[in-house]
Amino acid sequence: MNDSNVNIENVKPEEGNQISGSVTYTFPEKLDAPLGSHIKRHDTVSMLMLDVVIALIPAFVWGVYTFGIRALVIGLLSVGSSVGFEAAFRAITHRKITLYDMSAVITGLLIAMCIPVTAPLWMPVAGSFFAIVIVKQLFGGLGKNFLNPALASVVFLSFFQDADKIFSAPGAPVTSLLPILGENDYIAVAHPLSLLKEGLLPDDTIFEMIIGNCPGAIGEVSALLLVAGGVYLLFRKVITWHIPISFVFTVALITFIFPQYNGIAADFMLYEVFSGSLILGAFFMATDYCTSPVLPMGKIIFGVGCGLITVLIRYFGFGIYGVAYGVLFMNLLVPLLDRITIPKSFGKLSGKN
Amino acid sequence: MSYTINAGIYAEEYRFSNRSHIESVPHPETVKIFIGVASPSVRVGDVVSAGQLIASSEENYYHASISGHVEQIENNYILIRNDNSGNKVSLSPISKKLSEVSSEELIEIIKSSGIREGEPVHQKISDAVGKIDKIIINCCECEPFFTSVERLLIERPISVVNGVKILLKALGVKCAYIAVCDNQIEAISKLEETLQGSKMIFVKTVKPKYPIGDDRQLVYALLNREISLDRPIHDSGCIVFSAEICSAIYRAFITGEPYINRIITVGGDCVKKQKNIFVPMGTGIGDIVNFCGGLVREPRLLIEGGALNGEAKETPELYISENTKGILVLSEKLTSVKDPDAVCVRCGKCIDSCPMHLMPRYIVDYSRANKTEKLKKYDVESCTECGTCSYVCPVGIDTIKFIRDAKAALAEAGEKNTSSHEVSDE
Repeated sequence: MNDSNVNIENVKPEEGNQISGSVTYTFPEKLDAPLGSHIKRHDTVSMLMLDVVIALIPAFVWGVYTFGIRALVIGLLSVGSSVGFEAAFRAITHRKITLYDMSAVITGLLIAMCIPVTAPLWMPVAGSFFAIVIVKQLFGGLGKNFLNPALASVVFLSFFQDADKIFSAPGAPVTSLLPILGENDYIAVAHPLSLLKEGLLPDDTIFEMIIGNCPGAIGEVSALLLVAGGVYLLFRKVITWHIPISFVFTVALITFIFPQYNGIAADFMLYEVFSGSLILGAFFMATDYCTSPVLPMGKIIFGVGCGLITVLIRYFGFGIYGVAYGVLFMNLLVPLLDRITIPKSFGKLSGKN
Repeated sequence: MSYTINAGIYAEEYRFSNRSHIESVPHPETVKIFIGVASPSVRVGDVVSAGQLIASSEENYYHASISGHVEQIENNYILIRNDNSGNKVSLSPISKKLSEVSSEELIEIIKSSGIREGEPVHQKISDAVGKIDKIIINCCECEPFFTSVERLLIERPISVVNGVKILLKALGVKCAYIAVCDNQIEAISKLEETLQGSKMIFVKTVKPKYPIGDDRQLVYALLNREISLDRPIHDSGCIVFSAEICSAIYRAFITGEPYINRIITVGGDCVKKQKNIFVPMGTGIGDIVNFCGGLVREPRLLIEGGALNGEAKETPELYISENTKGILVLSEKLTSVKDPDAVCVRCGKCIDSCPMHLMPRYIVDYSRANKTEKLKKYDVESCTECGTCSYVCPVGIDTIKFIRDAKAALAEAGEKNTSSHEVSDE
């Protein structure tokens, strides 16, 4: 703001508010008198959401690099259809178009990152429809939905695929791009979590798991880049540390104390933390504003709950969908968590009253 | 190390006027002095001199800030038209040294000078005598635009420090903290220089985090003492004064001048030059804007007080009173336009930054739904309307509006309960 001391020539004060010169103004008869703060910090929802997109991009690009161009096609389909469904729904129901808030882009991107590159191409579109129309807009749009749209759609899509077998090994070419509904030509490998559930460690080293040279969904493999994106969000104060740290820490703790493996517990723990969508879920999905508690204490309870259910599902349930079920279940408890963590207001803590 | 509060926000944009010296505004054509419930001691047509007593109540004295004749007396103000004679009442400064003056005499000087800040300062002092061990001078200027306190400390540190000495004497305590934001380095060094290692008065730096300038928040930051809103501040064993009051007390003591001038910031992007001014009480906005070079943009808001919680005026009428911390004239470009249809995205920023540890997000919800029981549970009555939640909201929800609605609804519900004498749940 350089224009604080605007100098305009030939301004001569006359009587009262009358000031000569065409560039000067007087007070109008009636001024606006709004309540509330008169200035606003320069951040908007779109800027917050744009930060999330920026944080997700590196891990997605890694997915494209690892799994090939088909990953990009899935990503574009997913983001495009999310944005399209959102715009169409708002238009059909005669509501304000809210595309500028970017939340549809994030949902689309997250869906693409949660499905394997071998998924048929109708999947991202169907997932986007479920996420945007059913989970988000039918409940009133951004801020009113009580489930995370992306995760709900991942669970929805999991009913249609043979979850354990369709993952592609990194670098394995997915040759046919075109068949929309047909089978693809791929080398099927087991998801690391499926092996862990059987008490086996994956062939990949921990280092490969961290940098993302392992089988998995498009965006979940590179733990390193996801953590980098998460740190960016923390740095930009888009999210707070409470949910990701308590979530990951809980998973690490439980898998360390009760490993389903006969070897070194620490190994098993590291594989559990870096496989599947734990890092993606902890930093980008569990922290979704609309579906997480608003208070630090509530956030920690939320994170611990997510971690607990994730491990239970991974041990005794659907294996690779632990994070999705964990976060979705805790989403339902958010109103309760908010209610039981109401802070004492300032001045009411001391016993003086 | 600087003291700070957990919640709150850094909102320090637009502090451009911190290089502009305090300038005295010439006596305007008319002044309108608000006298509250005091009874006027002059009549229409009387000729008054600057500094003359024109109205008094048991607790408060009001003085003419310019010389002229009384043109109009309404129930809460007196209008004086300048006769350009420049007459002043002959001032009678106290002839004794500070060490020889008793506490009662000092309180009497403060009383007869009409020094007030919301409530009369002499009353605040007499209420607190014997109950406190510390004086806190609130020089925290953590709001956008305002720089008058910083300039006061830089240009007239002696008047503030001597004002504190008078207050120490009047209250009979041995310790005073001057709280200054730690980024106002020049002000701090001037103060340190003036204090010369005083054993009674200390400079304490605080982080410039809005609203640390709120008296209760400041006491909490410095001494870790929480005071509930329904208790007076001296319950915590300390009392808070502003720098403005200190310098007014010093002027009253050294020259005998009553409280007829004050220092304010005129800010905003509409005035040609943002200034810190030493201005007679009752000066109108027109004269002030003229003094600042006129308006160079279409004004949208005229605000008395801060950009976050000040009062926006509906008509361009504003007269300087003891409650005017500053004046802002803002154009469309700087002001926030609230979207009435905005939907909360639950980012929690209002809750993180609320200095009263409230949950504005839920208060807005229940205020919309008009659920008074819930509003009580979320303690909306504790809200000080500092404007932090409204300032940080990324979707632009006018939280303060809903909070005021909620308070009004609660008050109404309370009245109903008491009038009908119905048995409540408790």
